[in-house]
Amino acid sequence: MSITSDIIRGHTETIILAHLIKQDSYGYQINKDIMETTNHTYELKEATLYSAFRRLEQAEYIVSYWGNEGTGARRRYYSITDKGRKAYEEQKRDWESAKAMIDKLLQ
Amino acid sequence: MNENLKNYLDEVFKKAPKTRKALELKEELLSNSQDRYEDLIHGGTSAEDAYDMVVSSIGNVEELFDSLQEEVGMDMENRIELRKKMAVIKTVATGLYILSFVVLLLFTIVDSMMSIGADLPLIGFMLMIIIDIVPTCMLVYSNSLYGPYQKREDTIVEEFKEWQFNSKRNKSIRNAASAVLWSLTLVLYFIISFVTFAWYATWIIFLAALCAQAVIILMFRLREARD
Repeated sequence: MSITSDIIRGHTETIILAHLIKQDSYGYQINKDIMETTNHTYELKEATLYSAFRRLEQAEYIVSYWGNEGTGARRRYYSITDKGRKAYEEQKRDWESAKAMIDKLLQ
Repeated sequence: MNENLKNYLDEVFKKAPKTRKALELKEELLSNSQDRYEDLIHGGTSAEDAYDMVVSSIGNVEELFDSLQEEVGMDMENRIELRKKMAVIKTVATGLYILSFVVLLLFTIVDSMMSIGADLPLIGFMLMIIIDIVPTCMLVYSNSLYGPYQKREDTIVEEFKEWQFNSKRNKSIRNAASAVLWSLTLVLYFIISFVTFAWYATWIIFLAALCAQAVIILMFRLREARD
């Protein structure tokens, strides 16, 4: 399990971009999707998630805006940029080629 | 709305730098933690267990604090460097002003001891003015070194500092312009007076300078208003 976690953690940013390509979202929603997709075997720590958000913002792959929830704390939504879409396609290609290579090596 | 979660985050963020980034991170964490908490409660988890689960999912937020603070130190180093440079310029400029005054004094003393035929005090005075051009230019240059204030840390305090800095900078430029104006007036007064010997009328030049200063101040005000 720890190897799986390490590999997933290495792709945190690509996973976030993959979510934002479908629609704008916020931290908990993204984490919840990850939990549901992995059948509750994997989830990101908040701290990991936010440092990833900050890195993506710095690279201008995503931008953020505040929602206006009537009650409680406001949600911070993230939206992918064109630059982010390009980065996602590139990172996905990288992963596909790495996956193919590892498959061959482990046969 | 769970107050315990808010209190927990308040406690954690006591050690965080007081920046807007930190406040926003806290608000973001709080809204996400509350969403998670409510989902757990709806799923049938007890309040106590839900709280523990949410807190453990937050993880080590303190490792994020460094990135919220880092940029402040860099700015301080730049400011100290700039301040050192300006101190050197100001010291040298003051030295030059004193030197020019010594030149005038020397010429006057020599004149009182022996008569060469030339108007030594006037020559000394001219030399003083010519020497004074250098430190005046240096001071004007050192004021332009300030540049627009670079807001490194996105806080309300920094916004105030920016405003304060800019008005201070405007003031120092205005003071430099004033100093140049009045030294020029004094030079003109003596030159015209010595040439024409019309001492009874030449004082009017000071009134003209007063008008000029009013115009300069007005120009600065207009520029400030436009900004």
